[in-house]
Amino acid sequence: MQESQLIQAARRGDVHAFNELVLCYQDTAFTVAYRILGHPDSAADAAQEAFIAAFQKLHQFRGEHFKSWLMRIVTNACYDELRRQRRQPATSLDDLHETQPADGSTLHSHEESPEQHAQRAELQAAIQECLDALPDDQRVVAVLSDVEEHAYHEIAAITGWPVGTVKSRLSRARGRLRDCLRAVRELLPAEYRLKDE
Amino acid sequence: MSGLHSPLSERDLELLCAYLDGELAEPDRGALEQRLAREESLRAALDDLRATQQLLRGLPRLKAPRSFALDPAVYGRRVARWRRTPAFENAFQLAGALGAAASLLLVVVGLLMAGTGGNRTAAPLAPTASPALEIALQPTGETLAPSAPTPTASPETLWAATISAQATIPAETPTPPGSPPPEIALEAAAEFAAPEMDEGPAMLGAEAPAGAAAPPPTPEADEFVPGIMAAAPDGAPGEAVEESQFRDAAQEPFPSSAQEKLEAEPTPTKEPAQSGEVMDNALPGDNTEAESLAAATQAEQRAAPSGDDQTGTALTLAGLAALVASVVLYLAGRRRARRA
Repeated sequence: MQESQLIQAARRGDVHAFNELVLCYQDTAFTVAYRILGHPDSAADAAQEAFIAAFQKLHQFRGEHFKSWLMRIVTNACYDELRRQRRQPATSLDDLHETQPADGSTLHSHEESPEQHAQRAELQAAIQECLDALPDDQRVVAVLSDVEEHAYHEIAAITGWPVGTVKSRLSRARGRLRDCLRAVRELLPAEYRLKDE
Repeated sequence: MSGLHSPLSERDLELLCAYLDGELAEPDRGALEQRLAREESLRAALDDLRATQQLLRGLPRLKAPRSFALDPAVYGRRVARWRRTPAFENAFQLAGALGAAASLLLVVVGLLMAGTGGNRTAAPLAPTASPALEIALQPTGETLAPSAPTPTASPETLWAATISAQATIPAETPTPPGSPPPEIALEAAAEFAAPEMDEGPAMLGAEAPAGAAAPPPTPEADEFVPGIMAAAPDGAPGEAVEESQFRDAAQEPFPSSAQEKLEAEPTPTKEPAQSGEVMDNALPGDNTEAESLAAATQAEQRAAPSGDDQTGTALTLAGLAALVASVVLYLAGRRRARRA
């Protein structure tokens, strides 16, 4: 069944049809939530809330790009989670020992050595730390543009910001990321070494 | 910030990012490419931004730690039952809001109609200005004013009023010591009603202002002062009345023809009876009867509300009932929407 047919069926209350859509987009939703929130459990909660909200608000979907519409709900769920975390700041012992549980870097291919695998995991952790250091709005736009590769007008539709705002926030985010990654340049592969040092 | 490590301005950084993403329009794009060809630092900054972007794009796509599929037992049945129509839950709220607005309008219209009817019945109950002139002025103000614009009052009616006044005062009721004599009472009534009584037969009930000068009391006229004063204006229909007729009428026993006419026609809204009533009430001697008659009339008006009153009350009650129903409908819709 095509995506539009699944959407129509889900709008009529067919949960099974909606769950087909969930299976298509749950990895994307979780990735975006994790890059924005920086924590796997929070990201899973935000993604789950986003899918529930999407099902309940499906009658408001007017036929635009479904992925962009879903990403908007995921982004809003992440903002809600960030606000909740600021209201109730709490750090568990699990958080302190948790380094990269959701990053996929724990599964390494047979083609890379353990040293290469460790270096790659460390690089990804460094990039995520640089992302976490950004202000919320800049982090959201950086994830949507450079991780999910959305165009400016799509980001504007997802976030509800004007395209000019998207441009300026993205340029500031990239400038900060560049400066942050200079600090971990020894972790970077040779082809990614920043030249302006 | 990037400015600490390179002289790149915010504007150049934004241009380079847009150029990197292919989002730079042609005039700016051409200008930036010319600068890139000239400025090595700008090229280095572009390379740094490109490397940063590639690092981010090189991040692996994560796999969801669990399935986010919804449980059909929790979400399926309830949603499938009533969410088939988009914005179904909003229809309740919209209907409730519109109904509440219409109900409020109905209540306001009903209250306005009831208020208008109440004013109509309350108008005759308005007190007169001065307690001292209350006896003389109250009936005059009520009945002379409406009769002023209708100069069709028949001479017979005025006639009967004149006879009634004449017959009552000298014969039966002694003037109370504190009350003004009949001439003064009538003059005061005439002054009070003067702005409303321009000319014509309506002026017959009072002393002629232009004139004037009532004729000096003669021996014949002494006996008939009220009647003569009532008939004083020159050219008025009452002029034709002769003094002998006054004398005859004065010698008749009290239930005069005017009084009989009044009793025969008890309806207070009829013009001739009102005229007779005016003259009777204008005289202090017949005070109690006039007051009782007025009180009875007012009590009738109080006891029988007008049609507007009833309609207004009904509209108000219906509006209130509809308002309650609309609020209940709105709350039900809101509850459904929240449940959704």
